[in-house]
Amino acid sequence: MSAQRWPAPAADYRFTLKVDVEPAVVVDTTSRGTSLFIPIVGGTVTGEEITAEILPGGGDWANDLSSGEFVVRAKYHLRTDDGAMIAVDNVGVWHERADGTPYFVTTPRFDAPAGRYDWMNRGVFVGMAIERNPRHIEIDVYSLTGE
Amino acid sequence: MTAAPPAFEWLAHVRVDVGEPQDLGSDISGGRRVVPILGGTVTGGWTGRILAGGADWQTVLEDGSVRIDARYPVHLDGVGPVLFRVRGARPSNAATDTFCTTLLVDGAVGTALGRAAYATVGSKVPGRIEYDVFEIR
Repeated sequence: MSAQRWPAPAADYRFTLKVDVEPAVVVDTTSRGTSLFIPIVGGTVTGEEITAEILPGGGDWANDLSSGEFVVRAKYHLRTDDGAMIAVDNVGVWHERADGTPYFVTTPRFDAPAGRYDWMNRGVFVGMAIERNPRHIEIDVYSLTGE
Repeated sequence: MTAAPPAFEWLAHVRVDVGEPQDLGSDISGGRRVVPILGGTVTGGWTGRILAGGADWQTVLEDGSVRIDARYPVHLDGVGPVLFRVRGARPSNAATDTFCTTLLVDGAVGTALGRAAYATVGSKVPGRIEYDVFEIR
């Protein structure tokens, strides 16, 4: 049974995370790469269903692998404009493609309170990310559904 | 919007054999349980087999939907042993509806596998989960 059984998922744009960071701190360097900590100091979330600020105090634990890719895990909190606190756990991968363009895709997971943002708990999300500059990353978040 | 929307390219078909869930009580997130992963196969553009020892550490939410958080070793032909990290959700444990997850592959340093993120679409019957793997481009 090696054939494809299901069509590709549908991806629906939901919101954008705009994350402000400070320069990375080097944690350790080995032959396999360098582990880094990148402080997350603020930012905003914009979308039809959510408007929020990114709270300082989170961070991105990143591994700069000697094979050329970065594997990143960011944990931080959002506070919505109606006072809900949402935890973000976003794991992803970055590399430079052969044509020089960046590949930067993440798999965010959210913990939201019951009520208006409960859909964030049970959705399956993909983040399409761009590093605007060394201090700012923007991630368009899509929800995935299958047929 | 800033970056391009995701596109998906089919890569492989996976069958996962799972055991009975072990109840772990509950914590602040909801009911917790662990489902042992017993084995399985990978076919298509990737080929290989799922090794025993992995598990899906699930959270059951108040409405019965299940948050999936699985890690399981896979031996891929031409690559060797890797770790599949799967996160997702499905409506309930009993549902046979199609559901999606995301997949990251650890341990494939230096190969194309570890440089990308993947989405899966699949469904569950008792004792088995099947899904298609799509590279997110």
